[in-house]
Amino acid sequence: MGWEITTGIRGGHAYSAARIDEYSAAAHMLDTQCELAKAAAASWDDAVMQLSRLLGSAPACAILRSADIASASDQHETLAFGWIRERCREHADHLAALGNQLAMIADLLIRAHSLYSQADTAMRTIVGAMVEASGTVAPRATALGIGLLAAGGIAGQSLREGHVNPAGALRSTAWAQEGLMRGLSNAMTGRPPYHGSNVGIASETISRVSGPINDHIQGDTLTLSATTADSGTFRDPHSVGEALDSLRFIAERRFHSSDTEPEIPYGTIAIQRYATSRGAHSWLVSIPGTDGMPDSPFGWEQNLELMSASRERRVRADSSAMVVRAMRESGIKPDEPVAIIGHSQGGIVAAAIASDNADEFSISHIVTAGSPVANHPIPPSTWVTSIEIDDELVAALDGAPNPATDHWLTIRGTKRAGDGPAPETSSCSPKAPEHARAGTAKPCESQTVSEAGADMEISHSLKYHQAAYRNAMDKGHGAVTNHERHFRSIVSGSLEETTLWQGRMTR
Amino acid sequence: MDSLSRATFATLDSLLDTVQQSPIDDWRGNAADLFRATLNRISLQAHALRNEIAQTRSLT
Repeated sequence: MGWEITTGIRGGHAYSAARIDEYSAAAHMLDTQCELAKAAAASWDDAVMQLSRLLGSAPACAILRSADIASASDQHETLAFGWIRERCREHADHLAALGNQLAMIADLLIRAHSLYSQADTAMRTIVGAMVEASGTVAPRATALGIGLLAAGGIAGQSLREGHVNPAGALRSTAWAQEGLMRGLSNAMTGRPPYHGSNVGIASETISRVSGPINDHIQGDTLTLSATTADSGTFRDPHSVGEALDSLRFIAERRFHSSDTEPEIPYGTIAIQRYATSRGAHSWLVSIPGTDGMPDSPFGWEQNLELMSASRERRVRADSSAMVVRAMRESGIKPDEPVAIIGHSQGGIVAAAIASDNADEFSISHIVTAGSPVANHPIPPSTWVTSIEIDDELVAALDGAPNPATDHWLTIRGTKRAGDGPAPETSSCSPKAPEHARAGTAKPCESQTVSEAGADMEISHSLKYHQAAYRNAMDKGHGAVTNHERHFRSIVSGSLEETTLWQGRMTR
Repeated sequence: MDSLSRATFATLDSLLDTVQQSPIDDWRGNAADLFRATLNRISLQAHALRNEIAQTRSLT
């Protein structure tokens, strides 16, 4: 057994209301045809029963019973009842198969275009508002209730797997995480509920204290060093999927394994320069998440500063200061388009730079994977593609859903246990209709998470975001393909250079 | 059998009309390819089924 991700889409410009109505009407018509085909199948099945009854009505007639035309005499007119009955059964089977295929493509149409996403969002909003109200009025009781729910999740998952697995806590509380963060931030800042997320203000309050303490412990002097990456081993991304692969390559090679040295040190980002045929430059900045090392700019505390409502605080966060300095030293000019992709803290850095450094850089597109960025004042000129998993917690720490605008698209993945071993290729295959005849297969419904074990894991790992993006691309929603096209337009040139920038904090 | 055949022809004709009208022009991705392939398959199967039923009907 492996794990699968299925996705829903929110925001991004895809279709007009008229177009969505057209898709909805088509799905409804296909569903109606499915019902008609299944009704016709039932009628042919009924015909088989009637023929059987007819044969049974004259049990003494040997010719009728045998249904053999050859055995009839010249004076005896008969029909090939056995043959007709068999054909009726075949017609019934074929009509039922047609019905199943119609149901399958009607369902595919609905899921691929998120035609029910508004209902899903409305339910999430109602549940979030209830938790927020409870968290604002009675924060301790609410936190205790959610804590008990988390403990129940751990117990349930541990019983299923036969050993203690804390990942169950995140899954059992996924529905409450955003509302809880809003409620707790309201309680902390003394603000009333239902006036937006106050997580940014709460983060500012905390980081006013935590920032100086961290500076004292870790030091406040940033040292930056650059190395040119070997073009043979480093990736050459030209799409969001490839950029996610490249980001994961950096992220996973930051840490020591038992018998090998890391290929890429912690506190490292990659900046890649592309050139078009006309000599113009564009850039891709890849930023992995928190590494938590004692002298790294990507520590735990910096997350709080990056989520602050204060621009000054965000700009001073070590991780964003390091990336901005690396971008300056790379020679990125104000008119050269930049795409930034980041995981976790890397995504928050991307959102902070897009929000706070718009005068200095043309941040055309950011891709965030598992990052709480809903409260950042990202200008509308920057395209944002956010990939979040329902139960990863980190993406919910902003206490708010991401804005749903033409340029801000959120792909929201839901994790579930899969049926079999993970295929490396897409699960969305044209062969799937064969399986759909059984009425159970739902092609393109989900994407298997590569390298996921049998036990439930915390889904904040990049492999879950990669699976979510692949599933969203498979479904072919217009908003996803628009964002993909825009991202590709930035990294479409030939890759000229990849520079790895390493940051260290000293006193 | 005759009325059942006629009713099924009507169902299949309506199904083929629906399939031909389905909006897929600006839809991309593997799901769109799958959708198109399935629509084509349904059309072929509906036509084949129509012929099969006509054959059964002629012998009854």
